Amino acid sequence: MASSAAKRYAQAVFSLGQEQGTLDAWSEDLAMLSRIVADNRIATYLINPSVAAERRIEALETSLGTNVRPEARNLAKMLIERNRTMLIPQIREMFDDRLRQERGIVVAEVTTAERLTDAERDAIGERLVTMTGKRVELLLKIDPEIIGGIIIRIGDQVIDGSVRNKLEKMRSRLLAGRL
Amino acid sequence: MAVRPTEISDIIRQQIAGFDDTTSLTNVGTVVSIGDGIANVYGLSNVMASELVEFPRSGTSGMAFNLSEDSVGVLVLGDYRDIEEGDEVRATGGVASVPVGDALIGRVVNALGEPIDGKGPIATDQRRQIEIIAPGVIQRANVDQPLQTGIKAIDAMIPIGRGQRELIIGDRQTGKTAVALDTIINQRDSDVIPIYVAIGLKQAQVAQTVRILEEQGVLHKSIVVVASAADPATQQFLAPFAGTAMGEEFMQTGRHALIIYDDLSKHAQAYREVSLLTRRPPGREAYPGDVFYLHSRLLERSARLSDELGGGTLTSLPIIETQAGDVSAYIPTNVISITDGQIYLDPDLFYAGIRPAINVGISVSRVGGAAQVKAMRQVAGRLRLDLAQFRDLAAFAQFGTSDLDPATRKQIETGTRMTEILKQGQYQPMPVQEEVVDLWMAGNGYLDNVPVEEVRAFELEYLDYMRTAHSDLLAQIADKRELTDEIIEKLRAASDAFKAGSRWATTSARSAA
Repeated sequence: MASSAAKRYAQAVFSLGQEQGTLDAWSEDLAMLSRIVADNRIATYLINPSVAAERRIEALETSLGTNVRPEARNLAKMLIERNRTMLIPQIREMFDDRLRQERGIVVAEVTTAERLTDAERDAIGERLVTMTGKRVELLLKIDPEIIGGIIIRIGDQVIDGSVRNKLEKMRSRLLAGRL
Repeated sequence: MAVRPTEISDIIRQQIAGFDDTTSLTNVGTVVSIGDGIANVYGLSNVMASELVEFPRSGTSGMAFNLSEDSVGVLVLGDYRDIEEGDEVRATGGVASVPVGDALIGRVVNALGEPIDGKGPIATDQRRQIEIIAPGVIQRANVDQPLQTGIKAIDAMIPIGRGQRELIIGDRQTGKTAVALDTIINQRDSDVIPIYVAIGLKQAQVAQTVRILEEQGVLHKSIVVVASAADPATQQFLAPFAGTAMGEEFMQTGRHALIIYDDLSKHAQAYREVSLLTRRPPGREAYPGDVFYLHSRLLERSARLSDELGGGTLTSLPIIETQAGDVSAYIPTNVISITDGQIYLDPDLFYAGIRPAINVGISVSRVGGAAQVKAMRQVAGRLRLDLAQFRDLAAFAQFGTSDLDPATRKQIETGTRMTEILKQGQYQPMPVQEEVVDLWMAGNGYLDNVPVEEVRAFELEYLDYMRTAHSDLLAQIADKRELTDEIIEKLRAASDAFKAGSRWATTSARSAA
């Protein structure tokens, strides 16, 4: 669930990156920032109201060093001042979504019961490219619970060809059948 | 019927062999929060307004109600307590619908069209969407056929036509449901299929109503749709639309249906509840801004279709409960302005013993006049005039009539007798020919010398006499639907004969002397 505030920040960062041609650099910087706040202790320190904002900014500055560009550093400072650092992972996610959308790439989450072979993976990828007309990034998942078959999810669209789903459908159809 | 286990196995085998499931693209979302019958769903980006969605894990269904930028408010149509945060939601691609057709006649169902009378599944494959656009101007014809309620006061002065929307309005305990039930009971031998939609009523009241319909022998040709006070607000909100869809099936196939919404005040409250829960902004009396549209789009679906489309009709009698007679509250004014007239039930009349407590002064029917049976029009004109004059003078009557001039006294006496004649027992609707004869008798001076307290007794004996001794005359009126000179002559002869042979003949002689 994306908060609308994260959406606004992501949109702002994206248009800045587009203007300056630094979209890829931003993507890396945001990844770096979200790695830092992924540490629970750092995340709680950054929103700790008993520490002055300047001290928190200082602490982040030292931990970032020269790893990120000045613009990304400004974003981090602004978020600390506004107590919005917990939005960083969401901002990153939405920024990357927006970037993929811009470049005509879709992410397809492919769930199977067993690991796919390379040939199978390529076949699925090709099929999805012709279906969507876009470049497809595959995100492979393994879930033995689906028993067999395949579930492909692109955004809100799902193609459920799993054995589990078919069994469930058969079950409801048998129950509805009149004797 | 006994089924052998091997047969069951065969059936299952056939079903499994014939199981063919093509995998297709579905739109999905995730439940973010759930409570009070409303699920907030993230995703479902391509869902349509009022599309049916499924919660596969709990097997419940829902209806997309509120579409906002990044979430969808879903009305859960069932038990929402089985749904958990994080559950998957699937769009079905179809809009909410209910089963319709002849299989529903004689059944009691819930707002989703599922049977709740324990008489087994409903064998129909026909379904209709619960929300459709009402028939347009070209598809309609004028309301020109009468719908007989069997209640003298209504059929004579507030006539209802097939395809009309006539509001029944009044305080609690003034007999609103009784008027509606009498109208249903009067369809026992007519070609009209009654549909009774109970919205937000107590289960006990609904059970009693169903029992009355059964005792009166009309349940087998009616449909009862129930969303009681114990059902979720979502079902109470949907019930009238479901009932209307069932009625439309009959209308579209050239038949006649009558739908009672009991009552739309509770419906508006249920709609207010789901609207506030989905965070729609409250307006007057905290109802959402589109509560007028809610009722207007519902009642617009009542119609008389043109003859090219089969000439079917859907008549609706919505009921509105007022608080302390306040007809200028939000929902009453809305529905008054939507409908083609209203029957106002007055608590003062009710407690004065005038039942049905119809206030004929402020009750109107805006389109039914054209549909009234001619014979009834002939006798009702006089009745209306007598009562109007009586209302003007009624205030004087309280001080006694002895000081008044003879003309005024006569008007008051006629008025009180007419008021007596319009009283009618509950569950005793009358055939139109008996109503006509009764009102003709009253309008032609036969009651003039009958004491007011004996008017009812006189009326009953008179009707008994007409039914037994002159059934051919009644049949003739029912057939011709008009009082010709010949019929009037016969009526006069029969009525004179009755009066001469009754115990009121002597009173008559004394007053004449």
